[in-house]
Amino acid sequence: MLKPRMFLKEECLNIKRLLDDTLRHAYGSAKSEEFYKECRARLNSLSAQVQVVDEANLAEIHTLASQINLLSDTITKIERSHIGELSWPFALVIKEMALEVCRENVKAAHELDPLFFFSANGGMFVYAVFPETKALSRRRIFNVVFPRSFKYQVLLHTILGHEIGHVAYAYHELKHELEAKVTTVLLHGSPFTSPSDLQAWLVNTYTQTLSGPALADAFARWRQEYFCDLFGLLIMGPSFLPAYRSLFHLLDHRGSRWSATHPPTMSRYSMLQDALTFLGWERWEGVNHQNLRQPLNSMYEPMRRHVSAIPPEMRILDPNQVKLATTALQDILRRMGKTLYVHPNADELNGIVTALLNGTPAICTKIEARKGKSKKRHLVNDPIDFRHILFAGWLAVYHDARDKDDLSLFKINRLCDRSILHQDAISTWSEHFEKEPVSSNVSN
Amino acid sequence: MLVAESNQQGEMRVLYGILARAAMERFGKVPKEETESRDIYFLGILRLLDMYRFDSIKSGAPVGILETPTFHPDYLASEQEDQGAIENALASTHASMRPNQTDKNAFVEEVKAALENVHKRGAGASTSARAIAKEFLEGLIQELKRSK
Repeated sequence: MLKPRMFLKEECLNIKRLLDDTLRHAYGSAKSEEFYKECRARLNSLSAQVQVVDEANLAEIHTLASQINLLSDTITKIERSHIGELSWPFALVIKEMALEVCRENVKAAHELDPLFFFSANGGMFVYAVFPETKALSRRRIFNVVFPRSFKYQVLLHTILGHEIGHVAYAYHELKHELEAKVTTVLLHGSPFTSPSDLQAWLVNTYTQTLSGPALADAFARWRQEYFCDLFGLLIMGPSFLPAYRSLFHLLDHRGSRWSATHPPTMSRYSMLQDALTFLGWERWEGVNHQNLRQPLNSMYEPMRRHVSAIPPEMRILDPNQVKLATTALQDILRRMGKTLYVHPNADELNGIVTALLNGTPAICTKIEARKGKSKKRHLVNDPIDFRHILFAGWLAVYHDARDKDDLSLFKINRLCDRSILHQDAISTWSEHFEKEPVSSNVSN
Repeated sequence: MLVAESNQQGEMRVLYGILARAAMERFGKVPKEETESRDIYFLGILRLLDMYRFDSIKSGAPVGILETPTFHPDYLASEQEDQGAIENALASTHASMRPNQTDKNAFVEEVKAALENVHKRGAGASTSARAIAKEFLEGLIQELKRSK
């Protein structure tokens, strides 16, 4: 048998070779250097501890082995993440949004900003954002996972808004604030204010008995799930709902399945409907655009009817508490860059839906003359929020005029994917050449 | 369960013991090639202090997966026991360092400031910062050992 400490020393050298073989050279992204540096720092810190650990201290040796395993696992997952397997325009915008949420120390000039890598796995329900909670780290590394078969299905990707809510819970100060100002308010008066209340409710509703660690775990998880649903809705906007319902209906078609990790789906639908009503997105008073009203009704009406049929025992949260929690969460999100979804101008949205129905990606730019005597022209970039593109995409899906053969769900998804890509490219170009004219001799 | 996810009983408390000891050993000036490791040790302890301050040691790790698996009760029991031991070790260190100060926030602020001073300035850190950081780390190491 190899002596454990010698074995770990050898494994640290192996990981150094692995790191040099993979992230240093072969990972093509410009960000690979950041991953390389972070993993190298982790490896150096672990190697230093392996050098000094007492050979007889098996608990420490086991713990170091576990950390070395985690690091090796992370490096290989990063190595195997291929951006070509997923919608990378969507991955980039979701990364920007997640960064705003989980920036650990604003004062640290972003040098400790977390790192994100993206991967795709098999299965429709593999959507995930894995927060690192046990690894030694300078910068946290998050793995965002998409279903491989959904490479272009960006309309469903809005479900990741819910998973980013879990990321927010990985930051202790933010979690503390969210628990106090949002989750506790949201669940006030419900059976989820204490483990004993939850236990009583579980016995009555599911004849399930949980106790000890299992009850404590279910209590924490259920509360977090409700919060993440509200979080997803507020950062992704209306397009969160059809994605959420599409996926959850396949997971739990009755909506009342017992799970120790998630509250009943029906109760979550009900809570989201209350939030939607409060936000006023459903009715959207005064909006009667040709390409908006009918698909809005077609999208929202079945949800409303479904929720109205949910039995009272599954309407667990008080609508007034949902309203208060929504307002509190909006206030918190307002200080996190552009994470809070803002409803679009109806004319703008109508234009995007029309473009999609015509089979073209939607971008919002024009070239116009500069002010003053100069005849030079410049690009006016009025970027469309990717969430408006996705909202428009869902409206196109629900539009009666959509020729389902010609404009399939797949094509709408691709058009939305392209729209996000084009918009990002134009914004990048526009920022880079902001002071430069497009051309000095563009004619009318 | 993946090997990397396995959780030997008390693994996190052992890890924090390693971190605290490693931070203690790096109070002075350190070679340039060790600055990243030093960052990791100190940041690990600073994050632990925030967990203590915000009562989030025992509340479980977030799991951002759409279809979350159910964890085995033995795994949950072991993990919660580990978390409880870490929280108790911090509370005991707090009580022994500042017996009259019940405010977690004030205690954490004081210790974090001292640790950050030592982390950033190394041998140039103030004497009082070094003393507070040393007392905290030594106390934490002792309490974590006692909980095994």
